[in-house]
Amino acid sequence: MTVQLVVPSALRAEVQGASRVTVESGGTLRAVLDEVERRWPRLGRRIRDEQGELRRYVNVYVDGEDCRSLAGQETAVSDGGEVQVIPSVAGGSDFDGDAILAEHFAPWVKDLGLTVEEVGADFATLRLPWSDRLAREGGAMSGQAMMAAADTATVIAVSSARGGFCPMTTVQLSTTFQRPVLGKDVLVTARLTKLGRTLAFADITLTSSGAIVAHATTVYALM
Amino acid sequence: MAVTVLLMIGTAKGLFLARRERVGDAWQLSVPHFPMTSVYAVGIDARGSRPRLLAGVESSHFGPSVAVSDDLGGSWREPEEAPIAFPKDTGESLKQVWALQPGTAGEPSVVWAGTQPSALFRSTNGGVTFEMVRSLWDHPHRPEWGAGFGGQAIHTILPHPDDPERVLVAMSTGGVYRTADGGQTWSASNTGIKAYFLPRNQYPEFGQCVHKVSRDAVNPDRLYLQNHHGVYRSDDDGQSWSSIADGLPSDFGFPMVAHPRRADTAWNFPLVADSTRYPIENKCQVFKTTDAGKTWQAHSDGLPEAPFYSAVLRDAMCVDNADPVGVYFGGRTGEVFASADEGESWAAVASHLPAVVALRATVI
Repeated sequence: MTVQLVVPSALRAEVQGASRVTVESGGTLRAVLDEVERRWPRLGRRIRDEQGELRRYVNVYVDGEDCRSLAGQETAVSDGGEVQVIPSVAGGSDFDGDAILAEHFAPWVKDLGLTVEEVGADFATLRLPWSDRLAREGGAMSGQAMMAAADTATVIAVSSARGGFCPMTTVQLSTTFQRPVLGKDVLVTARLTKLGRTLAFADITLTSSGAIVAHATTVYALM
Repeated sequence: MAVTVLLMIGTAKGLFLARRERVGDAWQLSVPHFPMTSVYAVGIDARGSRPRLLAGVESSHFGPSVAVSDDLGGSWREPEEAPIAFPKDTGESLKQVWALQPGTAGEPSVVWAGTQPSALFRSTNGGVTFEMVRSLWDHPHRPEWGAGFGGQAIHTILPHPDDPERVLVAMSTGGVYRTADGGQTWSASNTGIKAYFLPRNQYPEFGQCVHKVSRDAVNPDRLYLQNHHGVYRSDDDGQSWSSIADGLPSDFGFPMVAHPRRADTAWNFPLVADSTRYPIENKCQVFKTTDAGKTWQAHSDGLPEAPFYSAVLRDAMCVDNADPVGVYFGGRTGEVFASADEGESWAAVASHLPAVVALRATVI
């Protein structure tokens, strides 16, 4: 089996300047990255750390899908598939969304286990990990958990846009639930539609396995 | 007489190399090496026939590494295998290199590295690749070591010049640890150092937030220590510490640098307090002692007269090996200053750089 590895410009020095290289491996993303590490050790360790984990601000796409929204390194890679390594836009900044999550939220919000996947100048993406404790009657993820995640993602997006945490409070949050979530993580992307001096407006999309499961809009008062 | 000095300037966005041929000449500043990476640790190994430069480089995307140059920064190399990697069974991965410290003259190929998370690494090939020092990693205190604001890291490594069995390390937070048996065993060594931020016992065995330690060149059992509030001296190679803060306007700060040849001489850069991390009276001034900390003198000749709000980080002050000794410091707002007369008068090396985090200098 062979797959194509698309190398970002910052790492091409490790593969003699090539923008894509053929890797004789496949099956899972992990197997592909193991082979990359064997053939080009310096390239390999820029994608994964010494414990084999993907570096936090490196995104790896398998046939155009972020592996983190699929099965991580267990994501299937078929013969002729394409694995693309892309540095996250969040990596260049000192902004630490996870630190804000750890410091500024009520204990029960922290218990949701939210993590920051990506932040940019006007957005933040958080992961709400599946937990049986979040399931309501019928087994689907409770709307309350998703609303809290949407609310929290907005705080991270506003903080990212302003370069750090600032006190703020929710004025309005309106949510529509479109599909049930069963046993899967939810990615919550809050995108600011307007950041004023005293008010911030955000549009929040919640997806699971690539499908929209809920949508929310919110208004925040900045203090 | 030409005495060319090379100054490594590690910043939040790359490494700059500055050179000056004669005292009074303008400094020639390079373009950034390793652009857009944080160069948090730099080292100069001047023990060989020509200096080896070491750089701890961290890309926020692609992780940390160590590169070396044997041609004064003309080219850099990095091995195929990771220069510093946590062994699999630790479950940890390297976040950042905080210290790159050449060993003593008696061990010319040894280079030490201090890392975040707190671990000590040792190289026997001049800093190309390193191995973790297990005995310190396995110390029973380790699970209780904390993290300072900047992270949990070993930032100071001081091998004893006369006794290869003795090495002192310091970390934030955790404090000072020493070995006297070549690294087989390590003991906390914080007797007399205060941890003011603790509610009850403020003199614990360990857990102090030590910022920097420097060793006296003439009497190597004498050490100077800048603590997170507190400035101390030890006269018994770190076994006990006593305050030398009385002659300073504040006991808060980060760097502490001893003279490379003369006894009882050291420099630091006090800030008002933990809660107020500005220089004293918002004035850019370096403090110097020539009597082992009994008294300190402020020096600001040639430094900016306008209010100065930048802090000098723990590794952003250094000395060279010229005679008289050159002293250097840099600020988080991207300025670097040099003194060619042991800290009495100063001139700018560079300004408007990214935040300066680490400096090292040598005569070449």
